[in-house]
Amino acid sequence: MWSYIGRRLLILIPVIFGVSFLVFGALYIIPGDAVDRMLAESGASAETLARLRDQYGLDDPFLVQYGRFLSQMIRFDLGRSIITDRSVKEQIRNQLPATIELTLSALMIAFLFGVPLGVISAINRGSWADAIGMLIALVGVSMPNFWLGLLLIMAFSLQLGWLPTAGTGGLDHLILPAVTLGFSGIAVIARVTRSSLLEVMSSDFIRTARSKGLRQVTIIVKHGMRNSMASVLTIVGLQFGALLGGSVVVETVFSRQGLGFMAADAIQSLDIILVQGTVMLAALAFVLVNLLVDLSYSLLDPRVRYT
Amino acid sequence: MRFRTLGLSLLATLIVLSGIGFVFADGHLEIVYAVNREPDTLDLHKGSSRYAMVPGASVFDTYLYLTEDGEYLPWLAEEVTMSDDARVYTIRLRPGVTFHDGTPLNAEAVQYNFDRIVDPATQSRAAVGDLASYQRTEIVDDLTARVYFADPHPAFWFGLSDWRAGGPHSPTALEADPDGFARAPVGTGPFRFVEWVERSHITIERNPDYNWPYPRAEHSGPAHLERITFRTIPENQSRVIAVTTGEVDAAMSIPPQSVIELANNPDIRIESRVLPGTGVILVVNGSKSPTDDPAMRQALQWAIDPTIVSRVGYFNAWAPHLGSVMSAPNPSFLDLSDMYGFDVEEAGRILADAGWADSNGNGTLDKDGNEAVLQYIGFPSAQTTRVIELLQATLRPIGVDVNILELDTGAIQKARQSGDHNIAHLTWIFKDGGFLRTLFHSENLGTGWNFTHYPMAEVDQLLVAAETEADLARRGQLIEQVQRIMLEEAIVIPTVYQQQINAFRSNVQGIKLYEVYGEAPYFYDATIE
Repeated sequence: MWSYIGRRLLILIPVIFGVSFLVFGALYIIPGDAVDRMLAESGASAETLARLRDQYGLDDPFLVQYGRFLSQMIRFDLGRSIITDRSVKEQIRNQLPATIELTLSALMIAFLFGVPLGVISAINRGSWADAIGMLIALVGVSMPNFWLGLLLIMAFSLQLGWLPTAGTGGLDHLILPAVTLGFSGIAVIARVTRSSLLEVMSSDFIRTARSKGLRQVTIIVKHGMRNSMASVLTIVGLQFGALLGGSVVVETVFSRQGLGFMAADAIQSLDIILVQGTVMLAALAFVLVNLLVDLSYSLLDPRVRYT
Repeated sequence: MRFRTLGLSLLATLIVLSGIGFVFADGHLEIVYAVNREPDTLDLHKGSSRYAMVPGASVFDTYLYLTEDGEYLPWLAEEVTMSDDARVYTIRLRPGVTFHDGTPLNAEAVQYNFDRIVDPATQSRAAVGDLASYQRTEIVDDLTARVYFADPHPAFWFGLSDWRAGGPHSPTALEADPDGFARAPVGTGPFRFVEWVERSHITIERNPDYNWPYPRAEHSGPAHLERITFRTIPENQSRVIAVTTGEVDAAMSIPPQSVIELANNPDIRIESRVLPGTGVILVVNGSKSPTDDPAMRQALQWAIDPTIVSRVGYFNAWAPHLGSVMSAPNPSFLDLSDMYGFDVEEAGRILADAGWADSNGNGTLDKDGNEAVLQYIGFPSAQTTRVIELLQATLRPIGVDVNILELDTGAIQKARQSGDHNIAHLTWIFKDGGFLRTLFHSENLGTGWNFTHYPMAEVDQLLVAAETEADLARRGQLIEQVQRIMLEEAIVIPTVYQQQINAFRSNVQGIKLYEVYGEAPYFYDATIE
């Protein structure tokens, strides 16, 4: 087990290296830079621009810039934002708690609603309950979260006046963003739960359980769900990545503190150093969460052993 | 059942809590002002974002106050005099002004501020531009400072009215924590900084010692409001909803399409101000076919009507442009609306007279083997797309086609610099006419912001002369000449003015949008009922 974890962590090194190359390369080939953007806002002189480009090494060749980026990363130094001149690490530290709060809330909503919806659809396969469940799932997968967010704001803030439109604060500020972000997760988890449970329920051991006269609830919960959870957990891990990506839009629509809001702002300002730091962190978090998901398989299925 | 009870209790708690929030806000004369972007820094010596002026205009004051008519009125400076060669300025300060930390505003503070801005260690991005060719500041007496420039610098008048160079920062606070000042600024303004919670809000509170209001103020002594919270809400529709529900008391940068809806709401008041700068203009490429032909450029002028652009593209919320490359609030603005009319047939006649004809019968005009196909490059925005589609539909009947290409910030800059366009979208916000050099001097072709790709020696000479002309009236005439030439050459197409539109709840009164930066609200006289 521990040697497996060790190996997986070692594999992280080339993964992170590859991600860093993709992130840096993608941002490098975008035409224009933050200095152009600054000029548009301030009318700074050509000398000021040249000085800024020199200061941030924006005119250096690709390999020089990439080498500098890698050497900073190795020292856990994510650099300083071009726009605010503040440490990227410090900015991430300030925004991270709000994104974790939102992502975990959304994941919880997705799991708590998605799994029962999938189970209900599976055990009532072909019935109206299945049709409604899968219709909800279809809507959830199809509807862009910025659109859902605006609809929820219009309903619960503008029309009913129950919840605030925007901002970061207590539970009232969390409900709409978490539901918006978690809705597509409900859909995905429900569909996977349904198909996975249907597959398990047609297995021989379920037939055996039935022939032994076990109650339907016991069969579904104890035998069916436990065996179908591996696929659901995999999708939960992948959903974490989708939710991190979705937080860019949701945090912006709800003007909520967080890495997504920060990243969207940084992209608009072409603040490449801040974008790099945020994307690298998100990639690392995604890889680590998937490692945790892989490790959790052994808890659910004793047949899974890591060597 | 238990869950239902729990849900209802939770909902009731939320409603009660939000109610408490509003009572607190009203009871303490606090207002919440929704902004669309955060500043980069509140150390205005260093930063470059215009959004820093939104809270900055309340934390800092300026030496001079620039009115809409271009007049410089005394404020923190009782008097400013300029030498005949525009190289030496003498600033006599108003007595009794102190920073929020108690430091007096004196000649030493003036010297400290200017020296800091030009110090390379400060890494100033915008303020340093207001101090071009700065040499030194001499302390004449406690309240008098003399500023020396190597070259004539008439634009320093503007610099003294601009918060970035002309809004004194506390030397004591800067010495104590030069980096921390960016997020804990100390100025002389009617409000003191309280906190900045990143990507959430900035809060300022009343300065009880304040007694040096700006010249157009309606009262004296401290401001009426106790507290102002600037809440960042970047999404346009969320900002509109927040002010509609009363969650915020005011919201800036209302999109044109939401103006009618809000104006019909009896609880909301809309206020709008034209921003200085270029307005929304289309820059024509003078070196790429077919717009290298003056006749084609002239035809374009006759084919576009700013009034229709305002109606179709901006729901009449942004007013038609009456000038060429400058908006109405800029000193030396020239109304040139009578130079061309809107007459598509006239546009067709101009092209026919210049030899444009559909020789191959494909429905598109051609001349010397070149087709009358224009490449437009702009930002992906609903308004500008509508405008260019309007132009496309107008030109089609006379045999001119328009290809539309919309690109994001970085890509558009390279495309415009490379001259891939015949027509390119451009907006620029700045009060002093000196910005025309950045946009239209041939030194900025290729790598800078001159997208005309059309060197004009006379314009170059006028722009350089304007930069060093000490006589402000004469300087204004030079800038007027530039505006006229740009339209005579038909190298720009003015469409609408860029406007700052704010929405206020009707119980909020007295917030003024400052005349230099339309985004910057003035809260000094503001009240909330």
